[in-house]
Amino acid sequence: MTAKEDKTQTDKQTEIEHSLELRSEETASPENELRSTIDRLQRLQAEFENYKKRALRESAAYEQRVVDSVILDFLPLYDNLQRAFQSLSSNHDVETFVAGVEQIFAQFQQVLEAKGIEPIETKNQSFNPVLHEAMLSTPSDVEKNMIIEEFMPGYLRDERVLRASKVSVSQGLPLSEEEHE
Amino acid sequence: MKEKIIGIDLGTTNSCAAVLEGGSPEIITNAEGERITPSIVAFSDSGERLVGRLAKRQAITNPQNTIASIKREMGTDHPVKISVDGEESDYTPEQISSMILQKLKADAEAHLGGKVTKAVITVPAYFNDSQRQATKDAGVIAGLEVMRIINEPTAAALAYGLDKDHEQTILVFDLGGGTFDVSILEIGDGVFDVLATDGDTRLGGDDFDQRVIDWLVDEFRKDTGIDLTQDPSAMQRLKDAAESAKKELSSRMETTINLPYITADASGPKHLEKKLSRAKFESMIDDLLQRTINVVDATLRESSTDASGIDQVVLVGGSTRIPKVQELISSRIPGKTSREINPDEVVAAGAAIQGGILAGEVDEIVLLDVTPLTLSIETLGGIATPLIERNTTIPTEKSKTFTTAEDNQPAVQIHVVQGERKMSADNKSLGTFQLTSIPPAPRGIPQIDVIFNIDSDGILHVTATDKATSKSASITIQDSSRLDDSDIERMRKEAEEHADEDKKTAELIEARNQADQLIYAAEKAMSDLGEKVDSAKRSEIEDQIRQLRDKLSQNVELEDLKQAIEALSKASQEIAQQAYQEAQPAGGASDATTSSADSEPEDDGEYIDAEYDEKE
Repeated sequence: MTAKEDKTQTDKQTEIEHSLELRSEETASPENELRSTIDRLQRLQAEFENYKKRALRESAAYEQRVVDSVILDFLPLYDNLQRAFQSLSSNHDVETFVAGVEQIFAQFQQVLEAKGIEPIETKNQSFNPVLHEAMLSTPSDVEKNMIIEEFMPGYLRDERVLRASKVSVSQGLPLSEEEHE
Repeated sequence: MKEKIIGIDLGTTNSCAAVLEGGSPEIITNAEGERITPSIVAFSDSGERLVGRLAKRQAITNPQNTIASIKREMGTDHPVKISVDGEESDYTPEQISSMILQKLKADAEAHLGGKVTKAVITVPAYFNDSQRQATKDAGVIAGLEVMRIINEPTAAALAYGLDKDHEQTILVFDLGGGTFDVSILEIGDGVFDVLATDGDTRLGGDDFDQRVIDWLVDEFRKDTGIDLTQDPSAMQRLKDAAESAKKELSSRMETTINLPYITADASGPKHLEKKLSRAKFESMIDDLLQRTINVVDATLRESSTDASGIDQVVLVGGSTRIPKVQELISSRIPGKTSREINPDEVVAAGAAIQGGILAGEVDEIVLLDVTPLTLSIETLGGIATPLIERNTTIPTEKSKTFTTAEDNQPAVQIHVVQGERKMSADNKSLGTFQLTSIPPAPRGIPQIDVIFNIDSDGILHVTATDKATSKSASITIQDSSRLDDSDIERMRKEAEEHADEDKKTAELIEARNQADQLIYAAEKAMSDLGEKVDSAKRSEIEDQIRQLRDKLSQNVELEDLKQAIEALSKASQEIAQQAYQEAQPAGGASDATTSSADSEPEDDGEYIDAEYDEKE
């Protein structure tokens, strides 16, 4: 083997080694890519789960604050009722007591109105399960399916049913003997 | 995205649907905004079909054409006769059930914002083949491909993830509104084997309510001589009050049933006010509860197991919230009782998990670990400052910026600890390292970013970087999440037990840190301003500083210390402002030191303990 040949040989070998190295780098790179993609995916998933946990905590805290604010709106009514009773026990003046309670009731209505709450109409209305809940069905001379009595008022809040009215519904007149036949 | 398979608990009184979202079951709210839907179907006079809450509301006006509890008829060929406007038609139980399923399907579609065509539906373990087939057919009529029918107790076990545990025998105690079931299952390798099942198809929460109503009627009759059962309006109010009293007694020892103007007689309006204690309520329903325990015993006998052979009890149905029910079961079966998941929703949740498994969704989602305990670093005064809170899903990365506690501090020591205690020394030490070669700077100026990075294997990498020089140091902690369950439990318990005293200690140390920083800032401001501070002011501040120093060395109480801090802070405010104005024209970095005279350290500017702690 000549020195030159020897050199070429070495060169070739280096070249091969180099290309092998390159190839191994090439094969390593998708692997690395996969690894980093999986890591990204897992981090994204973990972040989503941590976000869900945080959202849950935050919504619980938020709910507390909402309840707080509603209670704050109603506390003045409670205070005023307390004042009414205190005044009654000190002066025994029933007339002013009734007037006071009437005013507190008006205040109560104001608070409810401000919250978008309105009563569900039942007088001269036909029964509608979207708005009303039937507690009783009784024969009467009122047209069948009409509401004849309200047991408990219902309320809408911004057109959504907050509580359905509990009502008694007419069955119409009981069938007479002839009609039965 | 793969099509979702929803899970449906098609119950006798109520139904519930759920879907797997991001690996965990979510209950689907219906069009009425409720999480459960009454299993009631009705046909109105106009031929309109009503399902759920609306059907329930009109049931009394339309009893012939309202169908409740159709589940009891599944698998029979009893036709349901409906007559609308004189026109009679027959429906099979499958058809009626399909109407409930159709509503649940429509609500699920509205919730998910897409078509739903596949479902897993649950049935009682005692359902025979024809009942199961009928349930499947109901699904098909509703336009659902029923991917699988599974047993209700199996679904409950799935919701608790019991299929992933070791082989075990569980007892599912399902006390709903109107039915009661007990099942004993053997679970192993994802296979559920029903060993025995028994129940009482006419026992549930409604019976408990009735007992309270009866008692109220009796008491009122004794007090006033008036029979409330003759007054439908009063009875309705009693029913609602009885149910809420029952619910209240699950969390309180006593409740007051208050029904003003319940009725009236010749003498005027009558009010009802009765106190009901938990003990009294329990005695009212004692025989009913005894019946449930008898069924448990019968089921145990049938399965040839005894109480000691049950590894776990799973509670299903709203009535299992009653403390006495839980007490009776745990005294009968001393094993572990699972009741963390809402008992009204646990079956639907389990069905949704089964749906997720069938859809391949569960395989796709690698279940990620969580950090069992909080990971913190030690900051000034030995406080453990959390970077990653416990129960955080990993892999995750969190960072916080800290600063030095001394002037010209050349290095900081990062001490990583694990646990829920406020003081670093009470937690488990995971490792320490130093970040050195911090260029000389007044304390509070260097910004050191500390990054906690936990990879999916639970290995924690902590890196600290000096922002000014970008020089960093780090440590890798292999076993940040590798703790015994018992160790974790012990550490959590300890933290709970010491919560109050730990909080006090931490508050005191924080106040001491604040005092220390305030003295530093005030002295610095005075030396910066020199002659510009008038001598009266100077001596006032010096006096306040002396007092605060005394308090610090005397280890006074928190309140005392706070007062002294407040006093110095007030006295030095004026010169702080002056110093700030002096510094304004100069601008630049020196602002930070002077303006800090009256400011507390910011959230992200906590002090790391000086590594070479110069002795005071």
